[in-house]
Amino acid sequence: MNICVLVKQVPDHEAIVRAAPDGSVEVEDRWVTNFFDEIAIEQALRIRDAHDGTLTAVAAGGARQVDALRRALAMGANAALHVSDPALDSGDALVVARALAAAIETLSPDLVLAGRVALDDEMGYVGPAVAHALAIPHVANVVALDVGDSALKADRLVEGGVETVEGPLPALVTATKGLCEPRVPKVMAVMKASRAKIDARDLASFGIEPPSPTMRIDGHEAPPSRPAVEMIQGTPDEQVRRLARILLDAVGGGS
Amino acid sequence: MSAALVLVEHAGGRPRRACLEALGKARALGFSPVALVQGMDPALVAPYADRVLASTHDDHPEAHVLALRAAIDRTGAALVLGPCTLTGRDALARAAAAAGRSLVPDAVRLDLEDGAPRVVRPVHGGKVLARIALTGDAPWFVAVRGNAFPAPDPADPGAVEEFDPGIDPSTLLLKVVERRQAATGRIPVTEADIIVTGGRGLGESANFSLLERLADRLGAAVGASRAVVDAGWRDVSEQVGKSGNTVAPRLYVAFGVAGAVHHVMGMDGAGTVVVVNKDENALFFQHADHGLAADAIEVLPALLEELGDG
Repeated sequence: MNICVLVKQVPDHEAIVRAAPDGSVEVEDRWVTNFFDEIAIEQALRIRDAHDGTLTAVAAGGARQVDALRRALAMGANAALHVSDPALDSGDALVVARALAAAIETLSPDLVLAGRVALDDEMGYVGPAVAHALAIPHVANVVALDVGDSALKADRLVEGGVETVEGPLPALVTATKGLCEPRVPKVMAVMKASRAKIDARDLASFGIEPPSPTMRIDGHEAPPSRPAVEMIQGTPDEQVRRLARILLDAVGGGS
Repeated sequence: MSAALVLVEHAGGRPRRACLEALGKARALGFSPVALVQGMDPALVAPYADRVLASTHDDHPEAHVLALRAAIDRTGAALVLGPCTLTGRDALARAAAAAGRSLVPDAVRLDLEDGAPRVVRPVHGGKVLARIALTGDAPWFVAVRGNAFPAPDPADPGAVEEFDPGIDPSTLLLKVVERRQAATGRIPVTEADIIVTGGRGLGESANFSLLERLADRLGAAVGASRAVVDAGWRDVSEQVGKSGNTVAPRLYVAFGVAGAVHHVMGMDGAGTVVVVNKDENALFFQHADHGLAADAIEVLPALLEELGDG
């Protein structure tokens, strides 16, 4: 079975991120592989092992994305494919999705896994858009996955519940928390992955022209700040009465 | 007046709040709001739209995409809006991809400039807001956050028409074999106006019963921190934060939650934030409007009594 997993390197969730005066975004230099992508990698490895398959990690973007590919290799992926092209700098997820789809198409996968959303731009668009470009089903927000030789069965989160779906392969599955626990790669595997040669390929090498962007990032700004906290004072009884009043006022109408 | 098509989802037969807010926003921007509804009474949406398409398709992930695409064709909508739910984002993203457009999700501001949408949306877990311009030709696809736009007042009901999106069942590749409601039977945190969240500071799983009583008293959903979800006390569907749900209720009340960055990332869009934590240096107080440095386990019973639910 031929499997692909889409990966992205994003700022660590504790990294300082702020809007610069010129509207660009400043990110503290602490990077990790996207939380949901690591879940996708782990699930892909388990399916690969159960089906005697091959797993290729695919990333699109600048040089930093190689680190996400190395993470996937260290966890156990067989190969890595890096799509790098100036057209990807537009910030339009549509362009990224088309590039990834073109790259993945050359691999003719039976199954594509991805995280449900990248925790930097939080677009959540690339998974479904790649599925559309490949004309394969997309099973979103998956928390349990059984893959057979030609079909899959998945539990996916929907609002307020879980839906079980069955579908044919090839398909694209986006992973969310609960699907599996990503393994921590062994030191030797990390070292080996750090030396792996990962070639960058541009869009022309896949025979596609980048699409025109359909959105543009005009700038960034600080979120509205909350006024300083008002700490509730007094005896425990007074505190509870004040807390109750605050809650009832906020709920409205003293209901 | 060009049309704005709004994907209206329902929760238990009621239109989702974010969808009605999107209809109101569309009208405020000068569009004629058209609602696409499925599986619910269209009369509940008609007072907020000029036109309601009551689609005959089944509740199926691929059918939702095809119906949305058919409705865009039918209405010639310039703007396509919908909720940032798990299901809404999926359907909007695939319909946008089919139209050769990006989907801009999590809109908390939406305006027009030279006739094209400008969106402001939180990124990096809400640490910054990004200003996005939709470029190129309509249709433009935007998913809106709940509570970001005012709820519209009902007006003269728009026309309701049955809408057959003409889906060939043989083109549906997925088959839905089972649906299970989350065991809690409560309002999901993503829908709630009010959320009361518990963390490790509640001491043990059983103490969530106090929080549930408070939730019942306030008409709130119950939320959970990552720590208590990982400990198996609560279901992941209740988790608020980076790896769980992003929420924006009017009132967010946290008991015994430390307020780690990954938690705040999921709730910083909330209106009023009240934090109870026995550690007076808890990080969460920096993100709160009101704070109480006290043990949540002692405060909760007294609070329930004060609220007449002793």
